[in-house]
Amino acid sequence: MRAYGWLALRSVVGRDGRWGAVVLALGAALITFGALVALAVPQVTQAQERRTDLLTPRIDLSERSQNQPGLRTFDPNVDLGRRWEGHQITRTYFAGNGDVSDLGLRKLPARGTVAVSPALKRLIQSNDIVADIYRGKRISATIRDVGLVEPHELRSVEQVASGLPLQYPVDGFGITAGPNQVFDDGNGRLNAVVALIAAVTIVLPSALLLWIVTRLSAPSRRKTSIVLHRVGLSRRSTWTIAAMAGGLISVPASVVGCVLFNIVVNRVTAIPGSNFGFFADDVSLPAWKQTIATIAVSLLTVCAFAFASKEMGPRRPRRRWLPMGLRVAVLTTGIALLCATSLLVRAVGPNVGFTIWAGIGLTGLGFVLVAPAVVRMVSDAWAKRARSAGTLVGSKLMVTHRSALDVGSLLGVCVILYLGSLSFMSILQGGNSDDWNARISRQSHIPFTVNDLADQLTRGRILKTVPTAKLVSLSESKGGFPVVYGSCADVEGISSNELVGCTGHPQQIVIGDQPAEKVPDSLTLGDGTKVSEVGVLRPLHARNVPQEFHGAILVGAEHAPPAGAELSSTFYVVVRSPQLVASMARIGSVTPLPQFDLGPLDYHNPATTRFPKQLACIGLAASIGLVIGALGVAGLIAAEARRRSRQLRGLRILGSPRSQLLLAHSIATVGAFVCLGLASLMLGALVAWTFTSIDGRAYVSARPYIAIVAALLGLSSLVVWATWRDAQRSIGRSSGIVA
Amino acid sequence: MSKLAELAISAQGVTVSRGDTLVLDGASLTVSSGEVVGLMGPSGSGKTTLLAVLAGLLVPTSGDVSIGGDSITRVGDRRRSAIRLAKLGLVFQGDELLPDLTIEENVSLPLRFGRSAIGSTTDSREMVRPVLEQLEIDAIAERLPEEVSGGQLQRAAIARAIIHRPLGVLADEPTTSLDGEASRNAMSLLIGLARASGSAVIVVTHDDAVAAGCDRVLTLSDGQLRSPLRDHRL
Repeated sequence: MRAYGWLALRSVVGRDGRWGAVVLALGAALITFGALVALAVPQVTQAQERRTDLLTPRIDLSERSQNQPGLRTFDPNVDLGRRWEGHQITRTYFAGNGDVSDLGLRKLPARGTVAVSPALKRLIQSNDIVADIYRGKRISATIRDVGLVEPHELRSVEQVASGLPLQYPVDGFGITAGPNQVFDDGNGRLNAVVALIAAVTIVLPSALLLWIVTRLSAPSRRKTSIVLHRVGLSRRSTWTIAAMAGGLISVPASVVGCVLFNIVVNRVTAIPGSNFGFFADDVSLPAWKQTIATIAVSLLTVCAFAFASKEMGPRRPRRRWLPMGLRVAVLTTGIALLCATSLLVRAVGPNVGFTIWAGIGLTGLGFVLVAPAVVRMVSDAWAKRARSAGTLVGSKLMVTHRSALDVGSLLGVCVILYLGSLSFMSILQGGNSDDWNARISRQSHIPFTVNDLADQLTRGRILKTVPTAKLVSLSESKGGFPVVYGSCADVEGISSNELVGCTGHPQQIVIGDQPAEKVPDSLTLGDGTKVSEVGVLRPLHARNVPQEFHGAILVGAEHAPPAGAELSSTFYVVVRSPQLVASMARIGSVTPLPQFDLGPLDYHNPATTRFPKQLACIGLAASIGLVIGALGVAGLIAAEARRRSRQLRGLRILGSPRSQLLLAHSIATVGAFVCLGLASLMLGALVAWTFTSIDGRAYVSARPYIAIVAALLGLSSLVVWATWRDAQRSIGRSSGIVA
Repeated sequence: MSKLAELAISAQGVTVSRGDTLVLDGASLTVSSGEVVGLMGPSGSGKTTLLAVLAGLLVPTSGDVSIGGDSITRVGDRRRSAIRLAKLGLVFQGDELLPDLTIEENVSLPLRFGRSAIGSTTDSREMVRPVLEQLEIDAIAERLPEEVSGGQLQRAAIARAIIHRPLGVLADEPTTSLDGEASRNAMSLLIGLARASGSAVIVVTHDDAVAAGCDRVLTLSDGQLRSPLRDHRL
């Protein structure tokens, strides 16, 4: 066995196996790291669910509790979720007195002050919009870790007046934890899709990397196995030596991956570029889990490595296990499904949205099956039209290695999935910020509606915080009849149309030809003013105003109800588009329960993101997958470099000039990559378009396409450079032979 | 010594078929210790296949092969390999040395993997060095295969085949890549060393000069082993 170990070690450090060993080591380390991250993510989300539960106030909703003294807070069913500048801020409001030590605070902050988490404190200092939300409030305390779900959480605790609507007594903190699910938020179907995407995004490049790496120096290792078998070692022994060689690389590399994971989780507290943070204790995996994952990756790598080194008989030409006609049918079915999805959704409804997943699956599978043949067709067509020897030879050489084409097609599937994921992510995100900004900038003014559930907003308060806004409010008179408070200019600002016949005195608003509701004889306005002879008022014909205005009486803003008048109002605000978010933030500083409605724009607003965990998971999986995939491409480059240089040496011996050699080499090296890259980009664009056609929020900007093309060109240049250097060395040697 | 023990290599009625084609058709031969047998025949006649069967690298469709009285056709790969390691030395056409090992390390492989494995690297060197000196390749002992000439490579392959004093040495056109002088030198070294250690030698060759150095020459045609053309000693 000592001799086996000696030979395994020599083959690992030998010149032939050195490059493969380096890539295998990097791959094993990365895959181990990825596997541990995959194990840690559910653990983190479970821990965060638990912490969220522990921080949730227990509300006593019973009738008899309404008059109990102590701490009060708002009904948790009131949704306060809104992202500001991409930041999810959890704002909690309490009234009265009570113990808030469970929330990481010594005492409840006084009125006009706010307790914030460390991350929110930093953000308030650096971000004007977020600062606007807390306008007029002084930071009086910092929330300790015990009161946070994760260290980067943006959380604030504020005190509000008692007696506001929807306030209930707090019975304590911490609700009973739900079942231990990865995402216990009732999005099972979505989570399954996210988990599938994340798994495919990591597993596919990992499998590819392993496949590429284990075959990097497989011919030389196979030859070693043959020689050793001839010397007198059994096949099992030669396999053992190959496995030992693989183990010498992958076991330490997997351990390094495991150590790297532990270093990272102890130093990094958030997924870079995301809002998904975590405490070290939540992400740390028990030793047994780490050991099992490390051993599993090592064993998998060792087996793959040894299997690739296995002595094999002469290769027979591979039979096509699927006829070409069937392969093309798979691809065309996939494309047809993608194209038909939007029609089906329009005709049948969103329930047939699953066809997009079937379409993506079949398109990806079809791409792998058909793409190599397409590249061969391109190569043949190119060769037929070739005028120079370099082009002819290059176009022929670019399809000589079927395995490279297969691997290239699988990488193409990664591109398709990546573009599809971006589209899907923008849906989860509730839109894309680029798309949102483009939509906003197309309009000079943006109207939005504010409903204040805490009944704290008045016209005066809104105009004080947003002086440039055009504002109209709608509330019911004491008799229950709708009244619009505002001037003619305000209504014109809302409708963006001139109001013909607006007198400035009470008038009934009529939209189009709709019959107006019968008006009572008299009305009592918000400020208590009585209006008589309402029935004989001149109607005011208005266009492009909210439908709720139809039939309402337009009166001057000075008659609007004051705060706490128990006449809940809806405010219609128009601001200049660049001031939209700041205006909403400032209004948010006045009342704890503002609800903003941007109408159709809200559908595309990324600020309404509801699935940050899912997005972070996909983002993390895509990042790891991309790094692993890039390493796989590097491995493929190395393998191709070695193969190509030998063939070019032969060409040089035949007398091919260096320029033609370079041309042949460039085409041979990048031709297939470029063909597969362009084809996958087109199919990726089709997938993105399909998502867009069924959901307007799905938006992919030009940037990912440009990035992929740039990466393809960069990678191609790198391939040509790396392989050309190798080829030149071969040519130099061959020239010596010829001389 | 019994008659069985004197027979280093024995093959009886060896048949190898691939599909409908008979590559070897009932080939039988016996080679005694110290005997050198040449195997000739046109390309595709089955010479390399016969050698692979004798080496236990290929299991015949029927027939039996024994090395020093041990059958290698009725046992598994593990046992067959152990017999090959202990009792046979192989020299095949083309480079057969491992590129990552030095010449000395390549030659020492059968000793390192043998059942009576040597104790240490020093022991291995003590056993290998004299053979390398005998073959005049001791100066390149520390070099890698890619750093030496074709003739030196072939000598190293011969050294590896005889280093553990095997019962039989099987050589498949071992001098193909060498010129006439180098070829003759390599063959005489192989035969001389094999005889000195009492090994039986079967050498596949197209070269009449090589065949002339053999005790017996057998011809293989259409998978059938013909009677010896001549039987003489050098």
